[in-house]
Amino acid sequence: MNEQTRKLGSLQVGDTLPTLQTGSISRHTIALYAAGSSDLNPIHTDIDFAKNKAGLSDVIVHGMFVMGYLAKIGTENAPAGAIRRIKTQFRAMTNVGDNLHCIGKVTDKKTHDGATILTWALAATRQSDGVVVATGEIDIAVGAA
Amino acid sequence: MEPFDATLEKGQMELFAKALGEKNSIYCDEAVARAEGYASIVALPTYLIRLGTRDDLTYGLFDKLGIDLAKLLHGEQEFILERPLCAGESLRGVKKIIDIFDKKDGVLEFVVTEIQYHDEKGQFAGTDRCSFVIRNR
Repeated sequence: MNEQTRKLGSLQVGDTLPTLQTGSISRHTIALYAAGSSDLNPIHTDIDFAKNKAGLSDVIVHGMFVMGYLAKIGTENAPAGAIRRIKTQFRAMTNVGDNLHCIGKVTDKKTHDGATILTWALAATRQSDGVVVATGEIDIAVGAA
Repeated sequence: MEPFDATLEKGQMELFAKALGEKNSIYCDEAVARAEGYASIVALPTYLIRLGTRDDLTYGLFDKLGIDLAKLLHGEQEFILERPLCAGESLRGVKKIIDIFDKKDGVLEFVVTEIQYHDEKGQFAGTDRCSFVIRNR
């Protein structure tokens, strides 16, 4: 049993995972995510479309970029095979320049088919105004047979 | 909708990992992934979104449903992951619309889609469940 697995096994309901920060999200990061995900929706890639068609002041960050960051709470703290499910609700827009704080907290721990399943609640918050832009949860299997 | 085949392409997975600032080597360094026992680099938990984002089944579906992209928001997303997926694998996906409903007398419309993925052996590989919101105002 390696160090990461031992740590995972010792987590209890109420424990928190280390906070992650996106840093200020640039248009370049949005472009990279658009290329990496193939999501070229003009609301993320075309400022004229965002302003004139969608009524926004600028392009917005992909919701899936935010979900990808929340998923990093899983990938930074658990092996790849342990991540069984991730779900995210998008609650507000993330804008160019926002720095998101991504947090995870253990909310459930149960045993199923010989494996312990941890559920972590996830949330991403805009540092500038405290608005929660996304919430969700991730299921992590520990010690699966 | 018709089944589609999608290959997990290593270069695309590397770009996806770079965009998210992923530092864990099994997701972006083939040598490390192999040393850990994987066939190649491992797909990040949200990478299935890339396989399901297609001109025909994503933007084509919005066209068919008469959805204006300027009014479209991503409401909710869920992935169920059976096992780690590696670069080079090919999956077959089947996409279905599983629900359409509205709230506030049609001001907000919701479209829920689901893609079930199976691998080359026919084993279940994962699910992508997506809820879109259309703002009619």
